[in-house]
Amino acid sequence: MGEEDYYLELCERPVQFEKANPVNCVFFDEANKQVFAVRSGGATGVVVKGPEDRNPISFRMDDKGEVKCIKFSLENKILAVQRTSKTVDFCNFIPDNSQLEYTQECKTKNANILGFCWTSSTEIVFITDQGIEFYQVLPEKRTLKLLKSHNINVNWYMYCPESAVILLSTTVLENVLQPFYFRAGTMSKLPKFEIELPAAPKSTKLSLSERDIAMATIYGQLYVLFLRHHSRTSNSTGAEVVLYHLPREGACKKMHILKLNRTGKFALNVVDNLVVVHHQDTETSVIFDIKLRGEFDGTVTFHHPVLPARSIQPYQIPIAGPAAVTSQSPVPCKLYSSSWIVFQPDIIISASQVLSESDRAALPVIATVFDKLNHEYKKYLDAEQSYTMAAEAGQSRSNPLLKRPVRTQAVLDQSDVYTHVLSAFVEKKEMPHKFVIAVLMEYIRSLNQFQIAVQHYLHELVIKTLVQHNLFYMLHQFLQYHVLSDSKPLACLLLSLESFYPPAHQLSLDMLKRLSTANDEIVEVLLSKHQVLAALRFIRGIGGHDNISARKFLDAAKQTEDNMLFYTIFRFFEQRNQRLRGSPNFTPGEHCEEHVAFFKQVFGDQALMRPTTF
Amino acid sequence: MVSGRLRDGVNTEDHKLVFLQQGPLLLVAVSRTPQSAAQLRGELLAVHAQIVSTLTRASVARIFAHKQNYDLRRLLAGSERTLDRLLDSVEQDPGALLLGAVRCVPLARPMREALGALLRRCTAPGLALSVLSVGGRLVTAAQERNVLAECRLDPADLQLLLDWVGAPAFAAGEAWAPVCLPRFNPDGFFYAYVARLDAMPVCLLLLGTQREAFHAMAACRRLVEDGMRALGAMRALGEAASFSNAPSANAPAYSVQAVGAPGLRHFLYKPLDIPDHHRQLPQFTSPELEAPYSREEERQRLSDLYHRLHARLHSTSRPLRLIYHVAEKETLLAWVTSKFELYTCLSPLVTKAGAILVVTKLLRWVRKEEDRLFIRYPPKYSTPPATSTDQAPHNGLFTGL
Repeated sequence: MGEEDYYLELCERPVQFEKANPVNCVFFDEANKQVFAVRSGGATGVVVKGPEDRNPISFRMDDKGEVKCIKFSLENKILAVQRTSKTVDFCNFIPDNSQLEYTQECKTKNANILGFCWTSSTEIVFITDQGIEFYQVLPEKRTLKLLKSHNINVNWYMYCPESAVILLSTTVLENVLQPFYFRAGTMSKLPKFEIELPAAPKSTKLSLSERDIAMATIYGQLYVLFLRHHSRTSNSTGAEVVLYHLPREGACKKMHILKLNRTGKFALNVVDNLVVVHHQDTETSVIFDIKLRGEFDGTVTFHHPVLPARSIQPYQIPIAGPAAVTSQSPVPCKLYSSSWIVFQPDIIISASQVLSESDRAALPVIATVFDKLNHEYKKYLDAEQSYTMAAEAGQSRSNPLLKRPVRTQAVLDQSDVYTHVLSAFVEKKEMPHKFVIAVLMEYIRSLNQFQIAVQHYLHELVIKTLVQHNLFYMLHQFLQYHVLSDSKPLACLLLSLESFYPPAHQLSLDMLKRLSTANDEIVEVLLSKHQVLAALRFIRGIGGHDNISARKFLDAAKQTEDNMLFYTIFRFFEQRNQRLRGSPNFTPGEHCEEHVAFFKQVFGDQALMRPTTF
Repeated sequence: MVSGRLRDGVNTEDHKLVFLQQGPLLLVAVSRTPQSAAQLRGELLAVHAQIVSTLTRASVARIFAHKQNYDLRRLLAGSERTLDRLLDSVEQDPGALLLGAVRCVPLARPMREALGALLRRCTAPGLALSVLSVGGRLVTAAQERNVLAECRLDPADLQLLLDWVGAPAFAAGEAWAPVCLPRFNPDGFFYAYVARLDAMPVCLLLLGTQREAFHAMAACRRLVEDGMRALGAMRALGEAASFSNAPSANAPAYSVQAVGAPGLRHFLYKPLDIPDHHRQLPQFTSPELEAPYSREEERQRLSDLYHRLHARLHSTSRPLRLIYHVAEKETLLAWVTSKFELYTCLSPLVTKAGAILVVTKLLRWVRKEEDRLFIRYPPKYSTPPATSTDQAPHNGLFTGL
């Protein structure tokens, strides 16, 4: 299969770590996306790697028992290690690395710690089977202070670090989820909600499994995704993903259902606000976009996959080994393996690899879509053009078959795309800006490919977006290499950006100069910057100095409050008057009386030019 | 003593210091203007010359030989204003000091020659030099051949005299005072008869060697006055004042507009092609400084620009022949050839072609007006009157106070 046949690919730099074995334990912290490889309980070393980290963090710690869970707080300030079911040990890392551990026991007697989560660099939450405890760590004092706690029977929990929400599974059926929200050192209890379990035959005990729940932020909102293997309504087959919207305030509501139309083992990821569902049996993945219109039945919107199922692009893992064996060819990564563990939002852990799906997954798809659109658009444009030419040539009367081309629904011109798609797209705050620019440039690239002239407002959109995100070097390059075509509106836009980016002024003047029809604008720009001499020299350079308004230049000179300049400009026009009319005086039509009076006041009557007689 | 190393002056962040040692006197110039060290030294020399002209060099030496810490200001009382005016002229009217030349009143040649002849005719015993001036500018002069034949009258000395008679002490009536010509003879002095003629700013200066000759000089003056009236010279000199549109008739000058070169704002022109035996009177001409250089700051700025051009043209390491400098407020063109030295100030909007046109027009105009603007052939006395022959061997000069 060629490259165009894949939508999804794994990111280029996986985090590699040693396989787990009795001596080497591996832990993954999804909040910081760090992998901990703990050897011999830490005595022979702990190596921590993250996808962004260039160098792994290595340290040693005393072997005080088998490590159940190990996580760094935000910014790797404090390390927390759970070795028993009742206590968690802490060790400061930044700023002082004293290796002295301190311990905290969970407050509730007889409770067992299910796990813990860091919510900030010094705040930690213990989740026990009897409740939730919110502590503040005081690293200098080496103690913890309990801030808040809540008693409830907990089956399992889930933490979404992006939105700082912990979900507790409660009740016997495990399907009543109690969310807690952590912000600015406080813990707030959100309204609990119930996940609707599918109807089950009496014999089996159906409860909500932790494996079927995921939390993710889609389009800026927090959703709880439930992978329901059997539909509620008996006549539809296949599994579904039910999306529950969890707002900051207010009740949780079931909002979307993604129809999978198949059964089997699934895994979920969210990439770029798209829900990706991996199906192990067919080794394919489908993509859903909840923003697209689906079927609304009054309460819930049903969605179908955006595109047909495809596999993730096969990936070769480079082997990092001793120099002697670099000739070893890279090993293909086993996709869709049963040893996959999926973490939200976009991390898949294979037994020995941690991989992340690229956020550039969607761009080739978008590019293809644009190409298809512009193909239709170009066909329509060409048809229009030949119709017009034929009409002008007078053939329409003789050829009744020649009809005006009909614009079908498939034709989307630039104005449509700009108004309905790109303008809104650019406004999205959660979109990484380089991606936004990439999409815009893809559209322009596509237009160029089909030789459709790009409208200036698209260039303007690019420029505005670049400026908004302070990508000035990119803007400069685009202009320098004529990626954006010259146009008067564009030059004016550049002028208006001068306060954000001073070189924009000169870029604009250069563009106006290249557009040889922009001389008036150039003069206006120069005058507005009080560069009266430059404006005059420019207009003289193109031979237009006999036609310009004396009044305009004298006004500009007067505004600079520089008398020497005013004298020069005034004298220039007196000389022009002499040359054109034989007398240095201004005509009444030039409306310069005020300036003449000012000149006389500053320099005296005798400074006025006398008519030269030859 | 000023050591050799300090000769080029000392530069601090925004000041320049120049030292000049002349006999027992040490002169220091501290300047924030762009003048070069050489130009500053020239000014110090002028100041020193001014002091010498009041006291003579010999007496200064004698004073300090007797008393090392004598306060010379006691003897210089009264000349402070002259010194101030001297230094002001550097900023306001730099031509004379910068070019080492004298500016003449524009006057038709026949009239000037008639006045020269008049001066030659009106003599007195011991009279060495007669000078007729208006507003600090030379009308004409006549010098006694025997006295000054071997030593030319230095234009700096002449300028000094012209400035000296502009002092308020000589503003009206007649005066009799000693004066030393530093470059001619720094140790001796003349007796000067200074008179204002006909209540006009016209000034007659008669330099003589005889202390008792006051009345003879006064009689000489009356002869000159009568002669001038007969010639209608007063009217002519008055018209010279109206040749320009200068607001004050005290400084007769012409307007740059007379040149008829649009874009030209001001210039300094010094002819260099004077026949050698007439070279005793280097002169320059320049029009009235008018708008837009009507304010003191603008004049000073222009003077600084001229100083800079001059220093650049005459740089000892890399002299230039032509400078064309386009700036925000004006365009400057400076040019030195074997025939002339020229500094022009033009509008900043002038093009290169336009500048060439202006300069061509200016040169043509100067050529046309040459006779009016310059004294081409300074007159001399004919055979001195018989009465003064026996004084010739003395040279008529006294030494010492």
